[in-house]
Amino acid sequence: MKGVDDMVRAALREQAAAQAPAEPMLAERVLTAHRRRAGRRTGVVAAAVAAVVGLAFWSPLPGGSGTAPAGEGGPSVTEVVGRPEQSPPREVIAAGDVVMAAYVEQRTVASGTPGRGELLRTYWLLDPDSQTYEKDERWSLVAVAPGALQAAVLERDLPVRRIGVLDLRTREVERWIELEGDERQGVAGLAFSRDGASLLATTYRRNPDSGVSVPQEDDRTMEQVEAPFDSGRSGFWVVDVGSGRSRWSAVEAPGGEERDPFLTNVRQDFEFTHDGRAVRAGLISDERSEFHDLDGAPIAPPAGEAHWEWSVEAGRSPDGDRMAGPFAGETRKTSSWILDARTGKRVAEVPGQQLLAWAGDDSLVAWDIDEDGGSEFGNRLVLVTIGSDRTVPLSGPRGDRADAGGRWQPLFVRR
Amino acid sequence: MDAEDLRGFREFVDHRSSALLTTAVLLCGGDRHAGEDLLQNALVKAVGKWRRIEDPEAYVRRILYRQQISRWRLKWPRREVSVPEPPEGATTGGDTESLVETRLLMGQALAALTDRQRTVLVLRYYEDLPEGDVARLLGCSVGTVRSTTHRSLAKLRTLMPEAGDGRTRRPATEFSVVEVRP
Repeated sequence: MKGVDDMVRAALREQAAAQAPAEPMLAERVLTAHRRRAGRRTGVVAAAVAAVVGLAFWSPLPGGSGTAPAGEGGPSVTEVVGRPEQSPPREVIAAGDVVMAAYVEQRTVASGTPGRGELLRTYWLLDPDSQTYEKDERWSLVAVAPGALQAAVLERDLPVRRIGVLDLRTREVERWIELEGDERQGVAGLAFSRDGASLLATTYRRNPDSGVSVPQEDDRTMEQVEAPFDSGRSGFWVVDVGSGRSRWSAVEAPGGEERDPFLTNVRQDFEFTHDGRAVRAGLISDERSEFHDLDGAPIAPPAGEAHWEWSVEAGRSPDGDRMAGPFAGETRKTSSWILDARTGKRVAEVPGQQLLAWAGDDSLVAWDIDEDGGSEFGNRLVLVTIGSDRTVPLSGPRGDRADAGGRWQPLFVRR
Repeated sequence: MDAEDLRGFREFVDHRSSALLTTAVLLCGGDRHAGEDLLQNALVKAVGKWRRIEDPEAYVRRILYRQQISRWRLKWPRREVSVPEPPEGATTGGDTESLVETRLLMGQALAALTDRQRTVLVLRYYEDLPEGDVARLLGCSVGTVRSTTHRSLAKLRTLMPEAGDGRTRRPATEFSVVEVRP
């Protein structure tokens, strides 16, 4: 009688023995593919260097990753790949079900209008093979798909008329999804559905990154409050990523005909709800959020969505039962609430200033201050677990000034 | 790449590509085309760094394993790999026939595992690597290798309850699964 491991061994050897040799011209095919990719990459680098002088591109970094178990052991051990000495991280960070697929740095540049600036993002994307983060300056916005092997990208100069599907392994756009339409239908925001099959692309009439308020030297009294920049958010495209099929739906601005730009941020992107059957966005009002069906019509909050906190990135737990909540600060200087997704009742308080992503049904990645009592802005990525005070550091601490340049922000996806 | 690098690369591919392709196909659950794509991508990566690679075989293998466990696991419309229906019934027949069929079914059951599960089994039971080496290659902990192996074998037992008892039955589930991958 044989055990299943012996059967596996025998089946694999049998399969191996049945394989015909590799084709004789493989080396030439590989060399041709390599030359083609290198050629395309050189073209892109040349264009980028012409636009932005003095920045390194795709700088290769050594691979490898250290791992350590977190928690108390047992069957539900969470696998953690932390870099407590790296900020920003050079090598992959992962915890449980999620991986940091990218990080982004933002800076504001003068836009020509006094008091206004334009927000520019620079992404560092995880190379799936070397497991390191490599800079890619081509994009104004990147949404990484679950699996962290592909991303949807928008070119500079928002809003744009096409979405690129980027292969993160080769760093090449493998295809463009073209979106026809009028001046209302240009894209400036992107979000994947949880299964990665669909994209929600928020449309704006004007670049929502170009209306950032910047302090002026003579603006000491703050007496003049200008009306905020109206980016003209107009609706969203639902895009089936596989086929490229897309459909645009208009969304009326909050406040109806009398468009009230104070009700939303200049950039207030739509995203799919937990089950992908509706769309949600935040509001700067007592209502806190708005919901629409996939045709853009306003609807009541779907089950389990009413207590969504749009400013808390983690959102709903993978099983949908809990909702990452706002800052708590009751039992420790920095902590956050975990809510029952359906009732909104506070069910737990976990360490962490800001909850970023669920690593499992009971654990989350969060920003937290380096040590309890430290500076609010000297925070680092940590893994926290519901029911535990323990935090596992995932990154080194960021700089301790809120406006310090180079403050990186992580982008987590399911791996 | 200069002429010497090119010669070295071609020699390496001529001598080692069949063995590497075999591993790649096993990692892809027996899908020859997917295995060829996997190997070609790994070799393209290696060409770009050829001069800096000390041990090309170890490098290419590492890329194969890591590419495979990080492959796109959700719907992406490139290629469909359908796992064929196994033959009906067959609880009768001699020992040899039964054994051959059980192995055939085991091959299909392996294709129904996740890429990560299958990669760990290939490393443990085809490459015969100790758990520590598997963990190092995949960039995870020994505990993860152990638990993945355990879960993968348990899933195979579920798919093939007859594995080990000498009898052959048609698997109850999962063989009509269509996996979509790049």
